[in-house]
Amino acid sequence: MSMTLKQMRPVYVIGVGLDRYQRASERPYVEMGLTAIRAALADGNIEWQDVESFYLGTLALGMAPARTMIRHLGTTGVAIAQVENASASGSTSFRQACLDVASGITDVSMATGIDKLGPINSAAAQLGFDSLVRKPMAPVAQFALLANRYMSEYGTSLEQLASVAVKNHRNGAMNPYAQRQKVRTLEEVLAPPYISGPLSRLQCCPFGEGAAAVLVASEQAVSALPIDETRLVRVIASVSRSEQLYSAGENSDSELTGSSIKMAFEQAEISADQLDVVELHDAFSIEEILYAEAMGLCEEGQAAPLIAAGEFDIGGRCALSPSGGLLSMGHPMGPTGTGQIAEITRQLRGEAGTRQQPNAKIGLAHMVGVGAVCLVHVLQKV
Amino acid sequence: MAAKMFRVEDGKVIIMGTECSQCQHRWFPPVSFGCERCGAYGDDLHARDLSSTGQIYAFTTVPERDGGMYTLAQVVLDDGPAIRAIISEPGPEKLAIGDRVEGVSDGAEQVTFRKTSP
Repeated sequence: MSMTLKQMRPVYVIGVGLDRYQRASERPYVEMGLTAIRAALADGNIEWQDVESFYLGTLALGMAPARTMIRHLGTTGVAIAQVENASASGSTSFRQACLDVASGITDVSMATGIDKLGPINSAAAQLGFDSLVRKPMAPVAQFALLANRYMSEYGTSLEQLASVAVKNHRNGAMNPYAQRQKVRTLEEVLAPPYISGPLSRLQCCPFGEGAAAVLVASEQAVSALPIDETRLVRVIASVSRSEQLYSAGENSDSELTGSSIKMAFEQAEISADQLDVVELHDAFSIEEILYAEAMGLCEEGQAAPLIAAGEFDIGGRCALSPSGGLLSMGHPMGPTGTGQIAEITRQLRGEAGTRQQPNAKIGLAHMVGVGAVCLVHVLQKV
Repeated sequence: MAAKMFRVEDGKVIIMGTECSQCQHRWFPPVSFGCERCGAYGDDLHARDLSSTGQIYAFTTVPERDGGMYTLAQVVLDDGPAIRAIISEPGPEKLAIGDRVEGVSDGAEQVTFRKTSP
């Protein structure tokens, strides 16, 4: 009989660190990664020598980037591996670190996500499976199709759709690690250019570079090391799923998210109404609406008007994308999923500053990736 | 260049799909490594012609680099699979979800779809 994360050894997030997400620069990834790693070690008040396994989520860095970087921390012989799972690479990196601690193989592990903006080799593209569409089609077109279907079904207005980006830019403007740190009005979000269908530029996430690091530890490590036990956050669910076959016309992104979230709730023994903060895959504004509904945060067809009405603002019933989400904090690929854990952790500790969701106790991080895959983690204040 | 994906017979576009004889699942494009529903492979998979008639499930405009624009749609074919297709006529302002469409070909490399009913 298989076990859930919660049934294994308890796993605590003890330190988080980020290097600001930004446009492509000349900075070496080593410098970006070390900044995030040292910040996480300082935050957790532990030494690099205590880290027993290390994961690096990345898409663009190429073969074997971890050792080239971590040798500058002083070599320890730590176990290392790169993790690739499309946009969910950083989430998968975090899951692997959690599983090491939960199983007892390690007492302290580190998950990171680091990426530069660079060419990404897609396996599917190399196979040459083709479609009848012989024109360039960016990923955004898929989400424009979903937006068309959803808006037609529920009578969603362009303004309601755009309100997702208004909220997330407002949140991101308070996040020193966000790529976009500017409050945007509804008029600004609705302004051209439109990248596809109803999705204007500010309703699409920026691409760039960045680094995120998260330390996880066992109860034994928390006792043995000088870790501040008043700031502990426990990981109470970890779910990793891949797409199944759905009926023609079904929205596979929502189906995959819905079934993954259901498993996460069962593992964590919670329900949607207990969530105080959620970081989700809002690469495009329509996604936040679809996933909020797939998570059961509201009835189908209700997310757009509720977001527009401020129900999911910081201070509302549940803060959706308090970091600014992918739309404003950015989507540097490898770091994105790891960075979500950093935000949830700060929120549950009550250390999120002006972005703080009052009295946050339970948070959820959700990423999807091409393929498709879905990763969900639930964290709880201890 | 991928395998041929359509042909024209008596002026009608035939979409070349694949079918699993174990579970009757049909798909497009025609890739025959194994059935996504039941895992059958090899001789259990065979070519299956699909009618190009279907219904628009969703559509959107996609800007092109040269300043132009095309209409992309998800079309659920009457024969089963949902496919991505370019809608050549009418323009997006005259399209609606649920419109009936069928494939048309200029006889060369490209298949687009057009609306067949009001």
